[in-house]
Amino acid sequence: MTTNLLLYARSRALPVTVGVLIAAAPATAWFADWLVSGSGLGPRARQPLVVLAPLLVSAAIGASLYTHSEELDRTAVRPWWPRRACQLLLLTAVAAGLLAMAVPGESQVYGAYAMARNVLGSVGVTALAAALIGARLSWLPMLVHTGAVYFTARAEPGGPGAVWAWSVQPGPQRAAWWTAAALFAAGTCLYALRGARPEGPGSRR
Amino acid sequence: MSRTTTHPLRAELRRGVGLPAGAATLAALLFAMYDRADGWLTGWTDTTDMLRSAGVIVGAPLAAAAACWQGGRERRRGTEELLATVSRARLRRTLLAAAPTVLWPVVGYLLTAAVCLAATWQYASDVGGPYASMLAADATAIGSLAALGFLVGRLVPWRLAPPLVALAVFSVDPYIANQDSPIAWLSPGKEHVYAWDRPVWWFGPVSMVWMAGLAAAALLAYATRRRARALALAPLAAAATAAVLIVQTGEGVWRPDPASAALVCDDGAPRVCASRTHGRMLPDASAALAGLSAKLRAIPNAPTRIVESRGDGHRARRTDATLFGWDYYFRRNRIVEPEMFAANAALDATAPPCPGVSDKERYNDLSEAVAEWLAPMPRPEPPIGQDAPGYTRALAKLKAMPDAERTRWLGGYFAAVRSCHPERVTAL
Amino acid sequence: MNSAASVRKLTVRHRRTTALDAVDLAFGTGVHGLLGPNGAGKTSLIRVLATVAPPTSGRVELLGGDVSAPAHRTAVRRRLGYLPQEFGYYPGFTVREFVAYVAWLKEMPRAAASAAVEGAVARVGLTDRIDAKIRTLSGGMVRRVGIAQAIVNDPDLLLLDEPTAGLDPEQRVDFRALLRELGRDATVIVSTHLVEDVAAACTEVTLIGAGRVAYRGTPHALAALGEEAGAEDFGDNPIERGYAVALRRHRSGAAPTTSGWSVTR
Repeated sequence: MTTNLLLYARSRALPVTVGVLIAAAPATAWFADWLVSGSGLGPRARQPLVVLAPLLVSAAIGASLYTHSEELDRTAVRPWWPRRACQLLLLTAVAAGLLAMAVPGESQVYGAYAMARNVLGSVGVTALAAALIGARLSWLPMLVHTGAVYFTARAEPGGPGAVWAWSVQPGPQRAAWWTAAALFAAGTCLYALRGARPEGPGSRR
Repeated sequence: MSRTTTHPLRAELRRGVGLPAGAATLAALLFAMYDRADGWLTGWTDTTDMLRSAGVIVGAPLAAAAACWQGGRERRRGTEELLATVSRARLRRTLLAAAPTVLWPVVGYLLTAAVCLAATWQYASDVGGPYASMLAADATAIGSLAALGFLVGRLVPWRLAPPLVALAVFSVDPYIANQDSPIAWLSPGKEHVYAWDRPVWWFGPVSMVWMAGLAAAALLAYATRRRARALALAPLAAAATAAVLIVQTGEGVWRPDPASAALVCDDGAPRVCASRTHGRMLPDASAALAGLSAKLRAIPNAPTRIVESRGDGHRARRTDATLFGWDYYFRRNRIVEPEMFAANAALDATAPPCPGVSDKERYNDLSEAVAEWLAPMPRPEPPIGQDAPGYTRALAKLKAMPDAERTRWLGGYFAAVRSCHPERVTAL
Repeated sequence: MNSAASVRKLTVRHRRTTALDAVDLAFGTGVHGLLGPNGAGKTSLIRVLATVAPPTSGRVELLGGDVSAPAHRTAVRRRLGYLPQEFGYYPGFTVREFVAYVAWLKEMPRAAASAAVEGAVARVGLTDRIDAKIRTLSGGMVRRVGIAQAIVNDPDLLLLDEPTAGLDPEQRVDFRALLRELGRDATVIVSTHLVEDVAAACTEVTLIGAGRVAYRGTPHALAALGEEAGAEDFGDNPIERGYAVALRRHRSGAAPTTSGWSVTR
């Protein structure tokens, strides 16, 4: 059983993905320290990091949703959805935990709360994208969203903006949390049920 | 012969990831600009500035990531084998394959610029105009970053390369732009502050050389044979020269435009004056300052003009009260915070028009009381802290005075303060 | 001999395995079949002839010159057609766009390209799908797009690596006719596992075994070899039997004298 799981893990490039997640945490911690000490803004200076680090880990997780053998996978006897759901939930938990620890203190202001929320939301968007447009380009919608709201980063916390600009909210705003949680739930469900969208013939790697 | 086969550039531009990438760039840019419309729908310089920032922060990462993805196309599609047997020069092939993800995002940016400039048209003043060379420089920067992203995609066979490229653009550019040194001006999205500035004529073209030179050098180094690779040094040298020119000039790349900075005034007393850039704010400004003006008018020695200031302590005349940062009080030339506007004008009117005058507490309390009487500062709800007792007493006395006596006292106050001797103000 | 492609002492090594071992071959105008077991070195030979891979050692002359000279290599590439074993394409392109793209890559003059594209697509029987995106085509049609891009520049040297994989029997019959037609003016080298293709379309067969030339001759001679050997237990037709006999003789004959170069895979 362990061997099977290891084989499955290798078929989804999980070692590399987990490697990226683990490497992202100390890098984030270092950058957080550097940003906070280098600018006069205090913990607010962590904002770019809280937006961009989840973007990176969600891209890594999204890439791991790709299967080289989706035709073959569909003929498998075991149902796929528990494995898919497990993979996504585990990776998300690891990423959220590690990154939240990388921004200690002042959890209300672009700290652990916002980091965990953004990991959830980004992974949700990425999983949705994997199910709808394919795993290899699954990082794209989150990137577009980040690009669009990153510019409005100075938007006031709370208010209707918190719904769509959830990833740039400082922390405890409820609307932002709801959006991120809903995206994560939708992404996990759709991906677990449908898997990544097959990417056509001739589209190796 | 039925249909003529056109250049393969047409196929490259129509098929594949280029067009969607351009559309995504356009959508994200339009959204970002719409979201911050209040920040730039005031004048040409503000619009140009905001477009430049948005282009680099929103557009460039997207373009670079899409181009990086496109760069990995031959690997994904398995066409490398076939391409290894063709005679067409590698540089031409590289340029053709890079074209869709370089050109379409640039088109997306330029369309956004066109839309935003058209929107600015109805709010901007009659002086100045869109700084086309700056927008062209920014478009060049987006294209150049996309070309660099494309090369990364060619060289790095990793699925995470495109998002990493986007992340790099997201972080490196603001990092450079936020440097506290002239190096910051190398960032194509570097914001600047003053609405009546215009770029020196060479800043746009030289910025183009700087970014395009980097991209061209990388392209040549990648796509030419060993012997021709030295050619890459030429654009690299051009880029370096451009960079040196920009860094040495530093803040001087934007300079006040006398025509835009010139004042236009209403014919009230005291006169209210705005820079011509903000000339369309003048009617609302006059209206918001009407109460203050009426009071100042009656007081001898009071300021005779209320003038938009350049913010560097500069004032044309000692008898001016100045007010900085009009954009803050206005949205699309309509005033949104009239009380705050008037109160801040009153604060400057009651302060000595000279730097370095000591701030004595008695004088401060008096000064604030006078300003408050002239134009009350809107109070936050709930109130923050408590007013100083001296201030409260002074304000109460001022309000209780008979008109003639108050006017006389205020005349003395202004005579003392405006001549930079606040210590000569008589007590209430 | 006036041959479009010739190799002398050609050796190709991939890391530690030897794919081709000091092979001498020459190909003139006509259709040449390359037969041999998987891993025998067919694809390595085609890749060297296509100028994709440089030889480890030996001399490769194509269209009258040594291809190690960059200028001549470029000239050769203009007159070369190549269908790789794994044919990559851009699924979003139409057939016309893709074939025109390859025509551009081969530096065909623009004025001639348009007609050449349509001609090549017509020759593989895809005229009615010329403006369809490749992603919408079946596997056999994609293979035919691959053949069309290989012949768009009317190549003097045409290299086809397993072109018939994925074609149905009828399409293969058409394809063989096309090969015969192309072989009248050009040097066509076809690597295949299907001996019927060789029998029907080729003027000459080269059988490669374990990195060396195991047999060269006409398809007729190869069939005769099978007949001569009589009732052996392999193959359903003379040429298949010939293939088996030639390979077996090559192995047994080669073993004592060339034990030093036995190929491990």
